[in-house]
Amino acid sequence: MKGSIFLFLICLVGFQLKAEDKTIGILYLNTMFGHVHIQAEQFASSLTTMACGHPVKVLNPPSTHHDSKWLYVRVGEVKGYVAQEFLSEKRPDCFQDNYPKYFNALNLDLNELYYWGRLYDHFVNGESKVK
Amino acid sequence: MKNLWIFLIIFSAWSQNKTQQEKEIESINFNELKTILKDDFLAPTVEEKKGAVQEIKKERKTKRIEKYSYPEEKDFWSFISEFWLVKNAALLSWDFKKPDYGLRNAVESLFETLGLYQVKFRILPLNTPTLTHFSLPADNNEYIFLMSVPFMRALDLSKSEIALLVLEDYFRQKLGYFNANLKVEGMNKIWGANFYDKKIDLSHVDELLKAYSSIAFEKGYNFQQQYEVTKKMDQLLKSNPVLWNKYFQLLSKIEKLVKSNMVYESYNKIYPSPEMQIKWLSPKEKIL
Repeated sequence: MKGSIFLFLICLVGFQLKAEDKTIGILYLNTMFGHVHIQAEQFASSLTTMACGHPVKVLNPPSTHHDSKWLYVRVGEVKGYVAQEFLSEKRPDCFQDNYPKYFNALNLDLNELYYWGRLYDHFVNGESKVK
Repeated sequence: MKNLWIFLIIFSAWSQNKTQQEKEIESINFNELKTILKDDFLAPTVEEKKGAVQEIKKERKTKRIEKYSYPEEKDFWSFISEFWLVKNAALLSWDFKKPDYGLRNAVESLFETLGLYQVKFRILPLNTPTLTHFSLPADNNEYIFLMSVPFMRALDLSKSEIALLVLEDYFRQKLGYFNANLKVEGMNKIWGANFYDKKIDLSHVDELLKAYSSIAFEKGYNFQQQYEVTKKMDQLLKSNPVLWNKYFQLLSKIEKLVKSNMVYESYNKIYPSPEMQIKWLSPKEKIL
């Protein structure tokens, strides 16, 4: 009896893990550069940096994740969080794609790529609207 | 010698032997084929296909050439402003953990109260007193504002006072003073130009980055520009006495700070000067 309960629990956990990892959509980074964060928080450490237009697999979030402003994603082998406002359904119009040779000629180093991605985490964005 | 003779005989025999393909080509009467093709009406199809291939080749070349374009002006300012922020990340110290100061709502609310609608903005808090408050150009009716947290703390600014400083910076940008002070010539020749088969010229990037730093840290704005900005603020805020008084008090606060705190003594070089702004705003005394 104990053995079958144990087996059932293992199956349940396995199923849940599988459900959490399931891809529910593909979105694209819409800023010049961006980071996949270790936690759903703007100042959390970066797991990897990606460039504008990079496809991001959106996964079912872990049960512990509740912030709708952040999406749980997979980029390559890395799984982490990206703010929803930085992701688009369609591939965005990227500066790097429009002017590739010009952008490459700038020879940005890794430090600069990191900071460029970080910049968007620190901006406070707003727009005045007609009331 | 005997071997040489054998080799020569074999070689001459081999060279006389033609391959199957060569024989086939010789046996084909191309003129006759041409006539057949013509009769089959395949010649126009061949021409059509040739044309399509040429078109594809042309398109490919155009796309290849397009990759060597300098940015258009409409895409340029956000890029170069962000690049300057990235290059000066350590100096400006913007990569730091901070609470939500409620700046977004404060600025949106002020702009909406004053009827300034659909102004998109991005505010970057700085953890340095080196640059107190500043605005940078961006694309698509967007503005980038920089705001020093130590400066806000030193003045003990309220959210609405910060929003008023942002409004001042908004006018500086709106009136085109930053771009006017850049003084980097030849940008009109760069925007949208192409450098295919030429050496790329990135001197304008270096010049612009230097000019950005020069305005932000050394030269700032001149008296005339400050006067125009102050008058613009005066005109807009006059309809709202509470805000006008707040702005006046804010300038008084800044004046006291720059006179008493060495850290901010260069403020007058960038924004000449709070003292003059107060004079410009004050009602003229009547001489009897």
